[in-house]
Amino acid sequence: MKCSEFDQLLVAYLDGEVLSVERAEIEAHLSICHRCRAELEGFSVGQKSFRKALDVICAGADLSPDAWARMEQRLSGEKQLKPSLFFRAKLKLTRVTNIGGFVARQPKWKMATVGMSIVALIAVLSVTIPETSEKPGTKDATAIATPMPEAPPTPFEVPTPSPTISPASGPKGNRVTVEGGNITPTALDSSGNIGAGVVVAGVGGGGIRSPYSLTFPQGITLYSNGSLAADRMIVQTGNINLKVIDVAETLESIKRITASLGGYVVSSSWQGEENTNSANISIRVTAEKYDSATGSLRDLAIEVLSENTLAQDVTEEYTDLDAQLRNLEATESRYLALLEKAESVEEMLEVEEVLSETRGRIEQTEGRMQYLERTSATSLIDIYLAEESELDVDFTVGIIQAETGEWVRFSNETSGGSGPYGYHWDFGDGTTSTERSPGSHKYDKSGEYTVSLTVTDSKGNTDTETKEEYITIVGDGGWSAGDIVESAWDGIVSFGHGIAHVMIWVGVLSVIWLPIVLMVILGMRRWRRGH
Amino acid sequence: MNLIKELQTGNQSAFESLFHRHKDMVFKAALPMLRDPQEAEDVVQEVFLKVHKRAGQFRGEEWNFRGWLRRITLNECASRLRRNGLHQVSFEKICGDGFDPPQDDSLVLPEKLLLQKEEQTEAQNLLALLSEKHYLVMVLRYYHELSYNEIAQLLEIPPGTVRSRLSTAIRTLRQAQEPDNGANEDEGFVGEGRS
Repeated sequence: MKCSEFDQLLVAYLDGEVLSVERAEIEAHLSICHRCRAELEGFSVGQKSFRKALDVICAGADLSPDAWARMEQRLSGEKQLKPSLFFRAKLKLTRVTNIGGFVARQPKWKMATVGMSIVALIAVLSVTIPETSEKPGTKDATAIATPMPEAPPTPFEVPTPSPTISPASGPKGNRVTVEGGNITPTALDSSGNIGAGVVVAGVGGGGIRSPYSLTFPQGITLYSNGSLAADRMIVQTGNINLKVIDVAETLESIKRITASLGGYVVSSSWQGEENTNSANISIRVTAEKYDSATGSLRDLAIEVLSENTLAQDVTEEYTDLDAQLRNLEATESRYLALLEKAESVEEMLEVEEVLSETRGRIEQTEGRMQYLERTSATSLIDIYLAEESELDVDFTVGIIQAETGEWVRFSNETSGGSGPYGYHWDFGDGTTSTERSPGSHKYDKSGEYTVSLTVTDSKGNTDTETKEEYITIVGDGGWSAGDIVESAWDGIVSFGHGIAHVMIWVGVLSVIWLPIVLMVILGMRRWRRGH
Repeated sequence: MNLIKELQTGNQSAFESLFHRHKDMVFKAALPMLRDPQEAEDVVQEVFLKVHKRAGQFRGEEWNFRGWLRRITLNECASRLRRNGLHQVSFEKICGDGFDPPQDDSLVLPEKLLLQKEEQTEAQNLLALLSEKHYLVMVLRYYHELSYNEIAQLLEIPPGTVRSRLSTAIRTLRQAQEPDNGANEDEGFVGEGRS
């Protein structure tokens, strides 16, 4: 799946507001996508900084101390006005329609006419009360409430015992027509059967009239005894990690296979680095084609490094949602009927509040159901491709000039191929090793040595690296007359250096110490003479 | 003592106690939504007026009274916001637009005050990057900690929209905080770009 498909989901995931199906998909994606993981961390930082900024801003603001005084005033005002509710409502309404000012300015003799027009206006206004009551202070206009002008939709019909469903069976997405009554949902039993004359499907809100058509997200079968069976809804996601010869070529093959299976590529990305060539591709195929798709994918690989399939049975969840939806729709139609009977604006508002809440929940339930339908109809396969690079043998050595008997450390820098590997070192002195990186080889005789390394990988591929006259070995490091003379000479030289240093310091600093010494000597003489 | 029961039986002093106990909660809940202390105070009045009128409808203990109160508050805020229409997100009414000298706390050092002011300005600049519709879902989610569905119901938008708005908003904040394009640079642009 493409990162951009997760864009909106990531925040919801962080908030714990995703469905379990979505969570599985996200987590599968996060396990392979560094970018999205980094994004996720960034999001929690974003949330925290928002909260902090808001706290900083709101920290200083406080409720003014006279809040209670104002409250008391409001309360006493309410009480006084209560007896003259009708009068007050009238005033408010006229104020809203800008007639208040006009009324106040007119001479008294005009008041009667104006009064008549106000009454007429109120009659008109009362029709639109739900709107005007949104404005401040008009919520008390209950005294002149009239019923809603709009006729509510037809309520549910009473279910009849045996509706006919045609065609009697069909695949997923099949459209069937139900005649002779309604069918209501009940939960599926554990084997996926549903009771007689019962259907699990989405029906739009606002009442059902027979005959009507339903689209089945699940395959259904109507048995001769009148019972219906629904297929299980499985949301399947797969994850497959393949080693291939050529990533680019394999990507093309996967696209071809996907198209031939009637699926589509959700996303594909390709990363070419120095020695590793890899790609991610996500495809969706219909649930029935899942097995053949993974089969063809396996055939493309040299090696299947890992493969896992996550199948989640969402039948129960779907059925629950469906039952929930029915309840909500029933609630909605009940309230719609109630709305018709509502006598006051207050009542009407209350009913409408519940209605809009119910509508919201209906839409949300339908949304979830649609999501499940979509994801169970197709399976997501995430494929990771890595190229197998050619075996390339190389090695280095710690020091290329050593003495006889000194340890020589070889390090193996072979890349590519596929493990486990077999090693064969030839040190050029007639000895060999099968270690990966021999760290303690000793040469006994001085001379120049040619070293070679042969590596064989698990596929039987083999490669050899030979370095001609790579290591030079000089004679052993024992005592000799020459060494003694050399070290004695070194001693004399360093002693001479020391003397030279002292002389230089004495000479340079004579300017300071000579006068001091002279003064001391002269002082001593005078002191002696004085005695 | 159960203040709610007292109020339901018509005890007016119980109402006063309830008011004092919960008024700050209502105010603090309304303030980030409306970004105007004056209007948040009005909300406090409206909410408690409703409590006074509808106390009889409340069933339950005082601990879920706060939940009930918060719901009324948020509904009131939402309907006010609907009435007012969308505006640029600004906190000038809360923070003031200039430098306010310390009112009564003479112990606050000037540097500390300046630092506070700076912090506040920074916070304001950050939040001003959000458009109001994005800002509101953020407040409801991360300040009031409502679920996506509750937000959707309150703002009368589909739950999917809540998702996408939160996602956009967080991305905006995140981008602003990345070191290479600091909020200070875009400040002028954002300020002028919206009306």
